[in-house]
Amino acid sequence: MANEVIPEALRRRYIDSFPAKSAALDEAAQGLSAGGVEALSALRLQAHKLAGSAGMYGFDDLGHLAREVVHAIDAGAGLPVLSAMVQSLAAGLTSAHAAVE
Amino acid sequence: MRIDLLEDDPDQAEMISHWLTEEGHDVRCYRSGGDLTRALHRDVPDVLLLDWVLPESSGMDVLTWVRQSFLGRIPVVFITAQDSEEHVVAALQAGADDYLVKPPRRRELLARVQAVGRRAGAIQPAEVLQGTDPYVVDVGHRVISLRGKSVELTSKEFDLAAYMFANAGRLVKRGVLLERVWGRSQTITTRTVDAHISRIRKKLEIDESNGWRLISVYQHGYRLERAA
Repeated sequence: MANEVIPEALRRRYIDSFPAKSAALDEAAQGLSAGGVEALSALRLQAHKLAGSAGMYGFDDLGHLAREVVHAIDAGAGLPVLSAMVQSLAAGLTSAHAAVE
Repeated sequence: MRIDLLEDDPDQAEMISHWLTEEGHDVRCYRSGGDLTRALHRDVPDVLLLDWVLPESSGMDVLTWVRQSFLGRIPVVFITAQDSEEHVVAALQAGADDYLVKPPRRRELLARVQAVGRRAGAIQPAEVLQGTDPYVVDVGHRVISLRGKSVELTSKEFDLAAYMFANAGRLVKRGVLLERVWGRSQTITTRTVDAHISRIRKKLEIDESNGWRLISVYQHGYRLERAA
């Protein structure tokens, strides 16, 4: 996607949403720890959306991470594995946001 | 082309819509299958782009409804993060015309949309129609000019005028115009066609001074032809 022209205003708005996306992932991960089925569903939905959008805005690595989370959930990965992946994804969002601030 | 996009994620909808609009397409975005199907009862696009995973009905539900409805063979392209072979096969077998795994690449998306539109007859193969002087009918840029001066037309007026020029000399029935320009919407009547014909005749100044006439053939339709 590096060769794609991404309008700065759209890219900026997307990056500005990273803190909220990261917080939502954290919240879902905490819900997972509490054993919530709904939290797993919410986490999958958030990762699914991120997997779809990140690459369009030039954040291929984040998109790959998000897709791995989706695949891990679908494959029935355990809590420790999922938590680590979600933390990694949330950290990626935070650092990408910080990089442009 | 008129393109309807079903995508519940605003980040993705915004970028896809931007790409398509920049390419000259007219895009309407819907966030749920219900919103889209209600809109399809009013007006039918040239191409339908569907996400799979949605909060209410899925993209597959919408595709099934479209294929069973009055909409017939409207081209449908899935744009989804569902990347398994099973999903791709299921969508194509259910009647999707193409399938793109997210994230879509801009040029590939545009080319695929163009291709399904072309196969469905929504896009003329030639960018500029031949033999229409003193008019220039630029289908690629959706502009019609008269003696070098572009004429301001709405999207439907352009579609109608371009279709008439592409079929110059032939009698075109109102029903055909309804289907080709408006799709098979149930709420548009032939009176709408008559009103649009009247407007393009006036806006494009189609008369003998410009070497053309757009005549009404009673109870049949219209013919655009060279003035003798």
